[in-house]
Amino acid sequence: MIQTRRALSWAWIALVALTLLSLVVAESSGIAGGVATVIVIAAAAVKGRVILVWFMGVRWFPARWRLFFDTWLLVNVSVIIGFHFLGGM
Amino acid sequence: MESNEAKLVRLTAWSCIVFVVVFALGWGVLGRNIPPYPPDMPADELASIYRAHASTMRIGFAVGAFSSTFLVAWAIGLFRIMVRMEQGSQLLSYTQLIGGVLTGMVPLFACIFWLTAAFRPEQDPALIRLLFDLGWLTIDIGFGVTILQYCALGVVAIRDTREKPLFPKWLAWLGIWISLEFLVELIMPYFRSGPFAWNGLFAYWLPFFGPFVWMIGVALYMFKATTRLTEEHESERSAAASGLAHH
Amino acid sequence: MGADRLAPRPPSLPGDAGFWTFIAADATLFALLFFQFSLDRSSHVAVFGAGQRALLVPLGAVNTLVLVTSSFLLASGIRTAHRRDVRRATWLIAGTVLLGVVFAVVKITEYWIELASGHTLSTSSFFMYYFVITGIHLLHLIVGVIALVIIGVRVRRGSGARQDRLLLECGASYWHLIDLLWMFIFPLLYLAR
Repeated sequence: MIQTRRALSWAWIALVALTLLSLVVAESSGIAGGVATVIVIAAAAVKGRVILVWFMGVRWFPARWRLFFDTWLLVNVSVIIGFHFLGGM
Repeated sequence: MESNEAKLVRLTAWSCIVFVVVFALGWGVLGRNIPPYPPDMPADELASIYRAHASTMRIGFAVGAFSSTFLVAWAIGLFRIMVRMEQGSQLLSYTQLIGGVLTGMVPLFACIFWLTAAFRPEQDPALIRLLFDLGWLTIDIGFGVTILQYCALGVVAIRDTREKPLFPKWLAWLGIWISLEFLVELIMPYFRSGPFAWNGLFAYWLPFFGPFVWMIGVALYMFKATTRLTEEHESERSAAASGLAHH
Repeated sequence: MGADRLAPRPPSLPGDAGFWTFIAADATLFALLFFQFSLDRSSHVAVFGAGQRALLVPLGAVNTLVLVTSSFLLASGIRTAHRRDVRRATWLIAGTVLLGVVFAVVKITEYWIELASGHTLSTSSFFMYYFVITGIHLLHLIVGVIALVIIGVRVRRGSGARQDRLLLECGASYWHLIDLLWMFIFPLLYLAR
């Protein structure tokens, strides 16, 4: 339904922080490609969940819609990371 | 809706289902288009396929072309339901009608082009491939009028003021989405292979089979709608009759 | 806390329930795009790697921050609209629209630079996906901007009509979807190596 102003602000901070983290990890030569991929894609899913829960209010959706979006996040992460390692990095 | 019209409208709902089945069998199975031969297939190979299967392809494409007639009939029956949903002017109902009828012309001409190739398969393979390309580009790029049809139905169905709308809103929105997905065909000409080529996931599987499934859903709801509209008509008539009786 | 947060009623979708079919279909489309991209990449890793290195990560990053901020403003706007503060809600929606326009301008600039460097739709598989995925996303965003402008005007009129509230909720859900999709598009195309 409606979030508090504080909750929304923290959601935004989390999204910005995860974005900056992804950038640092991806651009850092010290982290292996495969590891970096897992981190940035996992971060994408977390960011996705933040948007779904705090901005879209998915917690108050009927069960089958919560299932749809959770499945969607899971499928994306699995498919992207799965094929990444299948093809070599 | 009085019962004579209701009977005809129900026939057009059947027409929609008949189109899907006959087109899938004719164009799809006999015409060897599930899945289609890729745009990068060499002309010689394509020509030898046409030579080998000319008989089945001829009847497949002729039947496929003919099946477009059922698309036209469907659009007309849907129009008669839509005018009873649309408030004010009937502009969107007419948009569906004209969009739907013109949509029928697209598979008609495409099948005729492929039929022409199957008609004389011994000719120069480059000509066979030209006709093959022409058929695919016709059926894929003619989508504009279909967007008009599906979106007009979608908007009218969403705006239906009945407490329980004649068409469910999810079906309306799905039709709108499916028609907008056709826009991917705009980049299809750039590709001879891959997911955006005419045999790819986004330019073939989604835009052909999405509508087929959706249309069956629309047909089913058309049957329900004619029943409800007949009941509405009956209750209006009996209300008017009892109103007269009191004078 | 209690005063700010409206108590949840039975589980329901914001806006018009049927519209969520549209959102689900869009989300599915992009999941299929991500799948195709990943599948193709797995057999052309070198080509995709080279293509990725030609991308302008700073511009993509700026756009990511722009978009999450726009979603934040819009969510705040929804909150404000529910509390009937029309003026503030309108400003927040305007802010969202402005950031949406910024995103589009940055994206088009990026395209311009890529095209000037000789990278087009047909350059390689990677660039095919780059232009098509971000292009379809951009089209969605432009439609979203237009929708929010129309919705913002209605909110400003402040009639409080149920239809306007539904429209606002649908528009917001659509915009958050655009943000949600970009959360995957950005790392998939620009970062994952």
